[in-house]
Amino acid sequence: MNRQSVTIAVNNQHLTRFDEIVAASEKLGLQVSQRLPGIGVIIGEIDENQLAALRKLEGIAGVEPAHSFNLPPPQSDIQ
Amino acid sequence: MMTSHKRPNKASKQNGTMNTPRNTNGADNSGPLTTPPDPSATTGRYLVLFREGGLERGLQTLSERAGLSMVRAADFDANALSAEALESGNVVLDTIGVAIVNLPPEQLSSMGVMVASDSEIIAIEEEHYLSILDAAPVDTALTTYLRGYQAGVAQLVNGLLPTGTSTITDSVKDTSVDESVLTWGLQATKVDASQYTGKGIRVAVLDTGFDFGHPDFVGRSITSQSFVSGLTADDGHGHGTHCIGTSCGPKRPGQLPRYGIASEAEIYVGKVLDNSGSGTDGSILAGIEWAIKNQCAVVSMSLGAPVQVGTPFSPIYEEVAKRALAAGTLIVVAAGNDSNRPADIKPVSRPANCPSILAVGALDVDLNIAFFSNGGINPNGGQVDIVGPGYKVRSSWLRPTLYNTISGTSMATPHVAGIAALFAEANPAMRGGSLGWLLLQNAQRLMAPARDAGAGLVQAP
Repeated sequence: MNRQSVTIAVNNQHLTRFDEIVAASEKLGLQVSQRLPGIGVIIGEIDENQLAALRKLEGIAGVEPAHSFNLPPPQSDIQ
Repeated sequence: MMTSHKRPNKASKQNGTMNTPRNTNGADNSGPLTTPPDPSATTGRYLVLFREGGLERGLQTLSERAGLSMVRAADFDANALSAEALESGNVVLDTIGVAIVNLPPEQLSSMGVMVASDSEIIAIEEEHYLSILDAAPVDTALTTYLRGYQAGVAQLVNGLLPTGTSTITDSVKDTSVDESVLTWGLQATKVDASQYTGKGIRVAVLDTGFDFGHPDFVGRSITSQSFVSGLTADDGHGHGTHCIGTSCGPKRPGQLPRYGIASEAEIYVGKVLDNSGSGTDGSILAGIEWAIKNQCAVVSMSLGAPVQVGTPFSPIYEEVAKRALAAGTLIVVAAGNDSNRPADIKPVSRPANCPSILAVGALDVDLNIAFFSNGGINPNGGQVDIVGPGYKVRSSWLRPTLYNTISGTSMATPHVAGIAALFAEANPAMRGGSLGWLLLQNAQRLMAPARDAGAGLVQAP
């Protein structure tokens, strides 16, 4: 099974029920690496085939693949 | 500031309405005033500005010391002061905290009425006349044609000549800039003329961390947190130290020139990139959460990932940015360095491409768009909002090197962040979106297209 790193946004109306949303996501197999209740975001890993179910969960505003960022090396002229 | 207002025409006194006067040739009264008052002319009255919350005591002072009895807008329905009261008497506009009085300031001060930033009355100005603006000249067909021709030729020439683009190896240009006292970036943004230091303002820089032992930062208030597992917030790259230097560096560094802006800001170091400069959404978002929780007025992020033409912005970053604004935190992010102008303009990187984030482009020493600076070529978000100095920017670096000069929208971004801290200090009530508005409104508009320069070059208050 392919695991996908995801960034999940909890919608505005459900911000006060953040913990519930985390629990529901975990039931779908999400392995949580970051809980950010202040901004309403959950970061974790989940099986690819569970993505559709995750998106449909009540209180979830969006699910995106997690991205990475890279700087040029320190000796570069342009950073 | 627009605290003065038109004095009603004398004719209105007779029948209580605002009549439009007749033209001198006796024609109907639908035309404009034929002799508008000289815009620099004063009415002979004075505007008095009261400190917020100081209105009642200020009025009491005026009444006791200067014997002024005032007509108050608050006594009228919906605060609609009558034209008669406005014209004849000493009046008070309660909601905006301004009075219009018939007594000159010299008389006021001789009666012991103090005007100072900490007294009830903080300013007195002459009341001026205002008038409609002159109509713009009608554009003839010929003028339109010639203007179009001119624009076309200019575009052609700009496309052929390499002027307006900078190359990092072009050392000839560098010798014309005097950086003995201040970096060129601080000169261009008028930081040296500003009385503000970011005192009391928390600035979060989410990057590769910071070299906490750097001698230029002894005694500064620094709070740090690493969001990269297994690493402390110590900077092992240099980039983070450079950005913190530009945004928050000292007024008197160990070695001139001065390179830092908000010299008394409280620095919040969020290490969200490892020492090779890599990071993930997770660490960056965790850094944003931490900065908001700690009431940072500004979050500076000199990082991003290239996007393709047509790629929309991340709805999640956009939502997070909106929540940050609502909580009083303004996020400024580098627009990205993927371009190679003039031939190749790449779109603004993520997450700078979010509408609720201020995307910062880079200028070179001649205030032209730097060749690498991305442009707002993606529709629906993806705009460059403002630009800052981003070419050969000197700032702090890891010990023992101490200082380094590099280029990038990464360098332009902390200029904006540092100046945002100055505006935040100067305007305690403005945070989040309204703080961003101050930056945009006070930027120096440039000739470069808004696609590349946004509102223009950031300027210090």
